Amino acid sequence: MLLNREESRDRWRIRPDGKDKVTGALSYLTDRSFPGMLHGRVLRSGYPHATILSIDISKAKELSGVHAVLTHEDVPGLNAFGIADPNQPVFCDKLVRYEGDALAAVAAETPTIAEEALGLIEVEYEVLPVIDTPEKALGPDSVPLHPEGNILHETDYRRGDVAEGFKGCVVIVEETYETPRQMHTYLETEGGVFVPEEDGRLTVYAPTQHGYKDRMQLSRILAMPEETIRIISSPIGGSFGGKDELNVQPYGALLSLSSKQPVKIHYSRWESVIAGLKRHPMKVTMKTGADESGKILAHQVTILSDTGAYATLGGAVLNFATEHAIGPYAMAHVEVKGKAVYTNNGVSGEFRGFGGNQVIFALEGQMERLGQKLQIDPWELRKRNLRKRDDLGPLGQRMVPTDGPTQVWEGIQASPIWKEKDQTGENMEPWIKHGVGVAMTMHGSGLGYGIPDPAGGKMRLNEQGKIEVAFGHEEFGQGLVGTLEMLLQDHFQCDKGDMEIIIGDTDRVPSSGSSTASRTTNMVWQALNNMKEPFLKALFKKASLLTGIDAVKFQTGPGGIWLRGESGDFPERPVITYQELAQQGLEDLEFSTEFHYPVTPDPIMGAHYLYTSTAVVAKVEVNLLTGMVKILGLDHSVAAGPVINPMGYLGQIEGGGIMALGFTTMEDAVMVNGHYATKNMDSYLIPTIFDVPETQYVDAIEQLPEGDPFGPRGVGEVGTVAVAPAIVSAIYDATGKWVTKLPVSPEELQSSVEELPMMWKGW
Amino acid sequence: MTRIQQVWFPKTLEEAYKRYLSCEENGSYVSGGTWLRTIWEADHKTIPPHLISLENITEMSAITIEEEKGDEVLVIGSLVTLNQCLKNTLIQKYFPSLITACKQIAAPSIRNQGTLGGNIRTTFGDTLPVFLVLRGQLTWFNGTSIERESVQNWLANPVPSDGRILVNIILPIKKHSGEGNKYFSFYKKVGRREIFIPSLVTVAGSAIKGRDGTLEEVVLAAGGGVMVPKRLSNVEELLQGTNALTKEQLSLIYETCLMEYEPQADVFATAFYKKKVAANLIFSEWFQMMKGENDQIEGGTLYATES
Ligand SMILES: Cc1cc2nc3c(=O)[nH]c(=O)nc-3n(C[C@H](O)[C@H](O)[C@H](O)COP(=O)(O)OP(=O)(O)OC[C@H]3O[C@@H](n4cnc5c(N)ncnc54)[C@H](O)[C@@H]3O)c2cc1C
Repeated sequence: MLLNREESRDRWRIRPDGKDKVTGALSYLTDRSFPGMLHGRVLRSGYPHATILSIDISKAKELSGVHAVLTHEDVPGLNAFGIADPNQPVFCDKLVRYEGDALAAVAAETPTIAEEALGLIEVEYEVLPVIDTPEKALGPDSVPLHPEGNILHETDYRRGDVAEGFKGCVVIVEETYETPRQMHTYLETEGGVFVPEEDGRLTVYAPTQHGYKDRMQLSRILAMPEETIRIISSPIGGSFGGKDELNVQPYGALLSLSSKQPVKIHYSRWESVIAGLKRHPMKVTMKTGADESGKILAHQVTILSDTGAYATLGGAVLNFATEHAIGPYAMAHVEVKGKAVYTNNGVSGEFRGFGGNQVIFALEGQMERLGQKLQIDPWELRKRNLRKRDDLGPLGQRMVPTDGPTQVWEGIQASPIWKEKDQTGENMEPWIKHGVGVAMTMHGSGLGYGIPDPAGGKMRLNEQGKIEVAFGHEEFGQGLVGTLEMLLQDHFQCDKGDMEIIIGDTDRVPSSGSSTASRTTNMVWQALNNMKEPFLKALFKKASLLTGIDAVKFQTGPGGIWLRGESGDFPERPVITYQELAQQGLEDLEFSTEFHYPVTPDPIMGAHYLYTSTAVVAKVEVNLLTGMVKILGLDHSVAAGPVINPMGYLGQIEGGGIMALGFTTMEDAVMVNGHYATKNMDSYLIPTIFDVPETQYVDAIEQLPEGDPFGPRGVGEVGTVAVAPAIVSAIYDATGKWVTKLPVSPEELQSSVEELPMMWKGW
Repeated sequence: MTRIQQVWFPKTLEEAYKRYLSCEENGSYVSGGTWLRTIWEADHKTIPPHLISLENITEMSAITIEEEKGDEVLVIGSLVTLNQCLKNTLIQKYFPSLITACKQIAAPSIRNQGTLGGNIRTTFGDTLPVFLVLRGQLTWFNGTSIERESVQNWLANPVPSDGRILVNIILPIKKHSGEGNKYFSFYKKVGRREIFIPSLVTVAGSAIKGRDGTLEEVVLAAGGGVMVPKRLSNVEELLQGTNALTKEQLSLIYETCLMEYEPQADVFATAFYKKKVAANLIFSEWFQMMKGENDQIEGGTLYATES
């Protein structure tokens, strides 16, 4: 279905949190204040690489209005954090590995005093040479940044024998592709409020994608039992992967416990840029060969990923990139080798698309080049290599059968832009060039084999007589609450007022795993399916006891339990309301479910089981006067199972498309010698309304292979993954120039054409 | 860390100037404060202890037509905001390229606060190439009297903090009489994104195309980034009095433009790229002018409106 108002009809629902967000009425966690609240600040090194000789906080402590000044000596538990491998110090003690490294934190009565106190902390450094590229980090004379050296993680996947495969090829293309350090650029920078409670517990009001994980990490740092920490984590002003890892939490928590007062920390944009995570810049080299029919025989890939100073999820991102460098294509001989390398650059971590975006840009570029060399339409070439429904996954793992790649391959051809593909544009001016390009891919959801990926939820009738569901997932703008409302109404035909949705509070929700990896929609769908039957059974049993009516005659509806009317019409009122049921006791009306995200039975680290597919067509205008690229159109065909919430789905693909457009044409957190050169949003650019196409047509293909039990897949990431190669191919169509480094450099495009007077052919 | 100690609101030029002198090195005039705040935030300068707001000096907020030696001039007060400029019918009528320039500065909220005077006084504001091309004059209050100088002269040697207050901008209103003559003017700004972006390159120009296609009164100026804009006199000269140009002549003009325009490189663009952009823009404007299709001002639609 084309996702729009007309096609969606009554399922086109305005999101419940929309108005408050757009008008600014919504109170975010970082908007909260408490009596006696102090303001926290973190002292950052400013040096990308240095040895710490001494830290003197005595003057800062004496400043009036300062309530706490903390360093590594004040961490009661583990002085480190990191989702996968906790190797990032809360406070550095000996070595500084990037300019955002923290040395001390201050809590004071006003932000101004806190800032002044930071200025009074004296640190002596011995500055060390900066390792600012992975190549340098791997060089023979490079010093190790961590005990294990400068390699965080390596991957090595082989199938067949590439050397043998290349022998049979009539064409081989080899190219190196580079991708930028993209910033998540959430509207709400990292922040939170930390409140020590009278009973000795700590309440944390701070955005995260995984409340329980934050609780675990904080308990490790604070040396406090997990149960004594409460994480309240929604609503969130954007995350895109960037708030999955701890950020302000260790500092806020330590300062509030030390000062015994509530503490608020909210990063300025400047601090957020320096301290926050970014997308891994990658250098991807691919050598791909095919026979004369276009059949790919061998594909050899190396991936070099700049993971920055610390681990966080750099290893998992590399695993994902390794798998997606193979994509939806069946290839006999494959070799993919990857390295995630420590440097003195800013920390790279989780980011929407999770390493897929980088390698898919490369892989799709290879497809285009192969097609060209063989003089086979590159789209046709892809078709000849697409995997079949029951084929094994990219890493040879068993996966859920999917027709997605074929579906989107066909689906995208319905886009109005597609029809312009082979037209030679009638341009107004000789320096304006138009072009159209296409790309596709397959994207895994869930965390993949070998990583615990638990899910769960709770359902009950609560004291107020509402059907209450609780999930440990978060609302960071993706529209979880709206989707949950629609699912509940589908299941129970109840009114909006009959339900209560609880998320983002570890004291009230079960552990549901992280809200990442496009897994949330699928997990809540499955959880509700698991709990619905037993819940209804119990509800009807109780209603039957109270009314004497046979339970088989019941159904749920607005306000309560109704008789399954013979004519199918609803009577005047329910047989018994939810409130009446609740008043008669709630015992036996609570259910929960725990399960694991579906995972491949084959023990291949990181391999995915569930996949979605996407194809993207882009139309661009290149102005050769400046080399600037304008995206005139961007349409998507997405195969991700049934659509629950059409507007939410559209929002994810459109928004993802724009984010990826930025990745392709302008976004880059430039680092010069280990320092961010783009310190604010006047130089780190994201697209404005003038940089994006007016409409993105999104065609959602809902059909799944018969008997598929897994239902709707998540679409949080898939809208971002194939945009760059589509745009770059459109630029090639317009200019004849292949871009291999993102973001696209206007200078490069401009210099690729002859000077204007030379182009001049007279009137 | 310096904290603001005092914001002064003088009501007259004299009072403002005196205050400035009495603050010695520790004072700064503020009009909209929108440029100042960017350099304070970026730690390029700390907030001085004395801020001297000019906003209550009423004589600097008007836009009027006056007569000077029989010719009409438009007098724009330095406190006129960029947004007031956009809405003013006189500016719309006589100086459309100034409208084009103002539209592409910052965003509506900043254009509501930011002033023309502040834009000029920074020495690299995006409006300056337009004022160079329009042969604008500036009037300054120097403590005792009003001085007047051309934008071009001032930009040749702008003394940073001499304490003078910019009062008005004076633009001659030209009568382009002459049968069949066509007046062209343009303004182009290129940044790293479509809108809401610091400039990499700005180019402004004007010319009169006679009935036979001959170009007269060619004026060109270019700036961008933190470069002080300047006239491209050599390029002007090569175009003056020309009609159809040969490929060789075009190449010469192009090369001259690359030489004469001297922007600085930054993290995002080399100087050579900027040079080529400027030369290309001038070339493309010349192309459009010779085609004669476009005597309207370029770039008119691309800006965010408030509604
Ligand atoms: C987000 C953002 C985007 C921006 N984008 C652009 C852009 O695209 N192009 C551009 O050109 N600018 C841009 N600016 C800078 C600025 O907004 C404009 O240049 C504006 O016109 C400056 O006017 P102002 O009144 O705010 O100047 P102020 O900041 O008040 O003053 C600027 C300087 O002039 C001095 N000054 C002001 N008035 C007088 C006077 N009457 N006499 C003597 N000295 C005076 C001040 O002391 C100061 O040194 C941007 C600013 C921001 C914050």
